[in-house]
Amino acid sequence: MEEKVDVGKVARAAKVRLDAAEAARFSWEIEGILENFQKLGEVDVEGIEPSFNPLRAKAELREDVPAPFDFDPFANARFVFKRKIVGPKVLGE
Amino acid sequence: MSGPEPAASFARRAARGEVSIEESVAKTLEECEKTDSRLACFNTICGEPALSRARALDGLAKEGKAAGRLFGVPVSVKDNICTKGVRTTAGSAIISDYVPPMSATAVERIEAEGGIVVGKTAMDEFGFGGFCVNVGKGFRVPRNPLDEKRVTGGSSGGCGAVTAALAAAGIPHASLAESTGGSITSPACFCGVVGITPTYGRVSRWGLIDFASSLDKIGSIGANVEDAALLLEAAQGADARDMTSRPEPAGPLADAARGLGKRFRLGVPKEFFEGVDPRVSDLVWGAVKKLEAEGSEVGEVSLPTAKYAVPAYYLIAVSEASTNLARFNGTRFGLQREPEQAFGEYFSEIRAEGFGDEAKRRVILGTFARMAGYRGKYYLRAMKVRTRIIAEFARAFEKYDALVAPSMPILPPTFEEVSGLAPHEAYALDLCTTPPNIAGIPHASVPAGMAGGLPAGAQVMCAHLQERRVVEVASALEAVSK
Repeated sequence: MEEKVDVGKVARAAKVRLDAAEAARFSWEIEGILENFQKLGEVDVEGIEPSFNPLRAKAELREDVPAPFDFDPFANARFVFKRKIVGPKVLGE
Repeated sequence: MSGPEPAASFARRAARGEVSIEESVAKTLEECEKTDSRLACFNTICGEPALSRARALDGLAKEGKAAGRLFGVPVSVKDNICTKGVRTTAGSAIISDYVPPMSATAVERIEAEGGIVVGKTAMDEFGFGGFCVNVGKGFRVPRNPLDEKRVTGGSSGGCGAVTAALAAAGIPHASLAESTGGSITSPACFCGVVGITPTYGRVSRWGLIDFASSLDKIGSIGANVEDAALLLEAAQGADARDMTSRPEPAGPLADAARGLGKRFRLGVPKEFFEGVDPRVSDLVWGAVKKLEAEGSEVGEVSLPTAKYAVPAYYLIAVSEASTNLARFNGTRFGLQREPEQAFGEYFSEIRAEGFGDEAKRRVILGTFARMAGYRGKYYLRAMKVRTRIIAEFARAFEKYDALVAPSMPILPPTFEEVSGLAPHEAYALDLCTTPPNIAGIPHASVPAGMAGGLPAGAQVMCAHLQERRVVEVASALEAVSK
């Protein structure tokens, strides 16, 4: 079954600006990809649990103890003010 | 090709002070420059840092303090694995000037064993490709050293190309690579060298620039099985900084490449041969038949869900990639501008500027697959198909020590051939590499012979955590394929 994708809407959610030519091309390509992915529907997955990790894993957590960075986390940030990274404004969208 | 001195042997001689590591590294760097000008296989060559480290190691050898399995061995590193103080780009314009303040655990371990990082290798942007033609904006596409009109394979294309080129020049070297869905096997196969992809979690992912967190695996490429095994042996092991790293003991591997003469129970999965170039099939079957003649048992096996591995893999991979790439938003590292716009506009524009076509395509596809109303149909279904594939492999390994199949279904294609493929046609060529990668089982690609002057590869797959068995079977195949 053909899957229609509103690429413009998805791209806005993904925070990637596309021009009109890119949006048209990606629509065509992504629909082609999804058409090929429809065959996953042939697999009987009734009662099967999803594998989020390919092996059984036990969550191992470190002790929750504050420790200094052993490297400078600001080393690659260009816009820093008083040891804080300056980002774009979040109000007024 | 007789090949260079094995890395282990070179390391022992270097530790005894029998070779000048500085001279060896200088020669390696010269060859890297020559190779790069011909093949575009490096994003960065570490000239002075490598020479400086070589001089320090020479000093240790003179003082009798030399130690390490890789003592003085030149190592190239895929450019999505962080190296402290050395530019690490993941092949993307969005972080083309990123200089990590720390090294990945795998790199730290290799350096602790005496390895010397000589360069960062070319790759598909963030690992998004099987041919190494999807490099980021402003990056060069590497060429295959066996035929420059052909692709290297990807995404660790630079690792494959430099390993083959340095081997041809007789220089000991190994390359730290990374695979998500076949990015070690593909370039190893197309460049005629050996690649080993370990069990998911066998090598720490700390310091790796993630593509898909449940699929990414750091591994190795070498001129031969022993060199690739030695590098993996040095890099592997549990790491408190990566909670997905495996706690099981990680034992020696390189010595398993020297214990020839063993007999194995080998399964040949028939689904891996469907649609494969007959020249590739014939070479792989020919190698298997030689092992059978030497006493191994061979039987055909069916993994019926393996043919669904490509869509399941891509849905998981793009879903995870679309969240992992959210960090590239022009604030903490990489491409940044004065943040004057509102955040949505700023992020969208800087990502549009920094991402190449395939990165945009995968981020959009992954965002779609995780959206409300589609998550169950695509992402969760793919995760359930993965469970079935893992179970089918596990059943096969109850009967067989290893499965052997083609590494890639085709011989190395030309750039012209690849340029004519639609994205879904390119993805479909991952039919042999996605099953072991989605299952997280260890596997290797070994040259199985040449057809018309081009290399074909045999893929050895074993049960989770059986890297040693992978090395044993790969060595046996290597010996009969020479």
